[in-house]
Amino acid sequence: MLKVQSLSTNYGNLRVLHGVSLHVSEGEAVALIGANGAGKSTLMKSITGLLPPRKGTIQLFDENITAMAPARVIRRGIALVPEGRKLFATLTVQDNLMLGAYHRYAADRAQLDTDLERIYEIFPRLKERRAQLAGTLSGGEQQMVAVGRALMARPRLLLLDEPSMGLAPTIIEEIFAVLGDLQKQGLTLLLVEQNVRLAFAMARRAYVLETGRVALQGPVDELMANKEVKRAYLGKGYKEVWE
Amino acid sequence: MSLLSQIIQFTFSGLANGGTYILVALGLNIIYNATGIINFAQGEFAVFGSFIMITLCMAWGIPAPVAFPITVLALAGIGALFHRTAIAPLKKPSVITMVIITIGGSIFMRGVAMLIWGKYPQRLDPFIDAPPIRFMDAIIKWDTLLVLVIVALVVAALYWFFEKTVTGKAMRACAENREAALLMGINVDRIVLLSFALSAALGAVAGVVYTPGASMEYGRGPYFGLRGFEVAIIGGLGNSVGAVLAGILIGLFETFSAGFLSPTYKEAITLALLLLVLFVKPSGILGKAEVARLKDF
Amino acid sequence: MDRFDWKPFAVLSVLLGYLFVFGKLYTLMLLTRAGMYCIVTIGMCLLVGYAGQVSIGHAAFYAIGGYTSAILTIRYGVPLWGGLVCAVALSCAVAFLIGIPTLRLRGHYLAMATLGFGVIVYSLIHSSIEFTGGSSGISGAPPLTLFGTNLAEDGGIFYFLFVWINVAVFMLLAGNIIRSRPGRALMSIHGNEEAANAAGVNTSAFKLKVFVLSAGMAAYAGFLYVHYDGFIGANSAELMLSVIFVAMVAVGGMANLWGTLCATVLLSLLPEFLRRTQKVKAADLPDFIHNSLGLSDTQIFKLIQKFQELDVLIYGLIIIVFMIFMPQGIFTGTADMFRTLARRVRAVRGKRRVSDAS
Repeated sequence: MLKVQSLSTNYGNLRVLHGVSLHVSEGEAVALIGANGAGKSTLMKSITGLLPPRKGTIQLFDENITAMAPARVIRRGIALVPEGRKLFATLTVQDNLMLGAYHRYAADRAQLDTDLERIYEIFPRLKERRAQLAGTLSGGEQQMVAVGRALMARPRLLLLDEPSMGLAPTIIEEIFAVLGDLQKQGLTLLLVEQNVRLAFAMARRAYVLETGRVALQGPVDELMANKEVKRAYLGKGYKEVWE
Repeated sequence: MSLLSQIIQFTFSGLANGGTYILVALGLNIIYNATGIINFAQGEFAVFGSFIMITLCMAWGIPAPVAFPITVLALAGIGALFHRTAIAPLKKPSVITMVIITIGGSIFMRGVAMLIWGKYPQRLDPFIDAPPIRFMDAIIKWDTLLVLVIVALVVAALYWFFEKTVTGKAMRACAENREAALLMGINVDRIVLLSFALSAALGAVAGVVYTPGASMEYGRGPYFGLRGFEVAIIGGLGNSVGAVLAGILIGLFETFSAGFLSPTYKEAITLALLLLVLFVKPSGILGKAEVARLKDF
Repeated sequence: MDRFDWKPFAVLSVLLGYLFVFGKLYTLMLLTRAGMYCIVTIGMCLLVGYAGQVSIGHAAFYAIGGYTSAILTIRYGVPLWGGLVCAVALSCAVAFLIGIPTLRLRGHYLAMATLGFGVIVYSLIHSSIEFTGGSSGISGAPPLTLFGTNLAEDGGIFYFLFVWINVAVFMLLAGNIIRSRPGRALMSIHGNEEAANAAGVNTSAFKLKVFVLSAGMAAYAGFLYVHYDGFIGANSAELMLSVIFVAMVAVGGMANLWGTLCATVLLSLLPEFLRRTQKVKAADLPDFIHNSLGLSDTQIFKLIQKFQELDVLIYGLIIIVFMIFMPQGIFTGTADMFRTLARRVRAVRGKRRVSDAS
């Protein structure tokens, strides 16, 4: 479905990605792990068109979407839940969700209310808070809005950039349960996570990004057994997750 | 004239002036929210609006109710053109560059206004040619009331636009978080263009409601711009509810200080208030917390 | 780059010497005024270009200088040097008082505050008629004398020299400030205040000093002007003049003293240039213009007359065009242009050679 080939991206004058290649098949959940500054978020931005790559190609099905404007990428069915949520804090929850469907607002108006109801079914708490300003919600609720907002775009491929960051374990569980359900219903996921255990529980395959290059890749069970991964990502983190 | 009727008189003319300033300030806020730029050419939009209205009404004899929307549309076009020619070509503008370039724009527009409409003041007939209302000793022109109505309508329309329409919300989204707005598929560039058009249109309304019964000359731009900025600052930059309140305040302050303190130094006194606010509390006297709920409108 | 560069000074001296000996009086008069503006814009260049603070109110300081000296010398019989001291001192004091709160502001706020200040000064000058003469201004200021010589005599040929020696001195002074430690720090980070503060430079003290200095220089220029012309009017405090000062610095390439100097001379001559074009008679124009425009002589005359009023518009246009296409200013901008042009030519030639060879 998504095929990224030898992608290189700069952040200003600094090269962050050095020839990254990866692919995601339809219906799959793929994890992307790596330390801070490995280039995970940059990769997300490159795919969605926020940060056009310098070299390499990005293909969605048979179409080349390299360096396409974000507004056109989202129309092709890729939505991103950005790092740090990036909600519109002074708009209401419902407005935030509605803006998620901005690109199909005119064409699909009749459908929107149904879609909105669906989001409220998935996250019942948001329904209670629909008229509240997004900025006043708790972190977990904000993450729900961010996921809901991306889902309102009706994506075929959902990119998630560190959805668990800074959230309480119960909330993380709730959100990941939702993501798991969505994946079973056929949504394709590309998940960036620092919480490796969490990511591996969700995904079948994973890529390990190190200083802008794919260091390791393969099925999750294989990676779990890899010494390097164990040491760098599961070692201490393993304990923290359970506490 | 008794003190009371003087107060009534000043209140009405103060409100009418304040209404003009509110419109200029709202225009400034819209551009500021969308781009982080203070548009120094905002006052020139008002001057252009006024002159176009004068040409349409006085020279071409088009009735005011028809000329008014034409003027507003024309200014929306000029605003869009301004963005495309002066603002958009810059790739990574610094604040200094933006300040200087919008000043350049304002000077350019002033030159164009002088070239087209000449150096001398031009007048516009009153909209409502009826004997003024006499209340006690105060004389209140019908046009003053009309100005208040128009300003109230425009403010209400803006409220509706930003609170109820998806384009308005998209505009607020851009102001708040450009990157997230891009991810929603919002064409941020087009929204910025729209904000310039809208802002210029508001300037046009300000210029048009200011002129009847008075006159307009090509050098009035900085006056509007400074008053609008004063109002925007006192209300808290980018805060439109604050701007409405501050506009009323400044309008009243100006007429009352002219009436009771000194008409000669009215300009200096009113601007001194701006400096005072800038020095003491540049974030505006209407603290952010109270009005944060309706920041963008 | 950090060392004192004497070459431009040599060029300047030769140019001025040549003009002094061979220049027409009228040219010298124009250049004398340009020199006065240079004194203002050198200060502005330090403030806007190096310290990164946009002031749109410097005409106010220029006017304060001129008016103070004029009022003191004419009304109170104060000697010239007294007028000078008071003019500069008052301007610096005002700048200091305004500067303390203003310079805490940034970017837009600062620009607006200085703009507001400028308009206040203008309106005060305009409305306190008994003191400043209002719109009719003040005339009869005594001419500047030095060593018993009236500098304005003989068409002001010595005034020209005097003003330009001043310009050279201020250029030296400004160069020294830039080479000083805080000046270098500010320049190296291109006016990025946060970075400067992080690097341990007390930017606010430096900004205030530069602001006061530039106000003093503007006042000095105003003083020079009023004792040259004998007259000063409210238009010396006009917003437009403040904007022109900023434009001169912008066209010069912001943090570029020599660029500012050149831009100041060029832009001060612009209105004169436009006036010259007005003198062109409609009948002198080639026939094809008449034919292609289909206009009568009087219509063309009116057009040309209008052209003279274009200076406001052209100033605006110049600012926009330079900010968009040549943000590095006329010096570096033109040099860059030639360089890219040369590279293109070379590239084309190279290609041709390759194709020739094959």
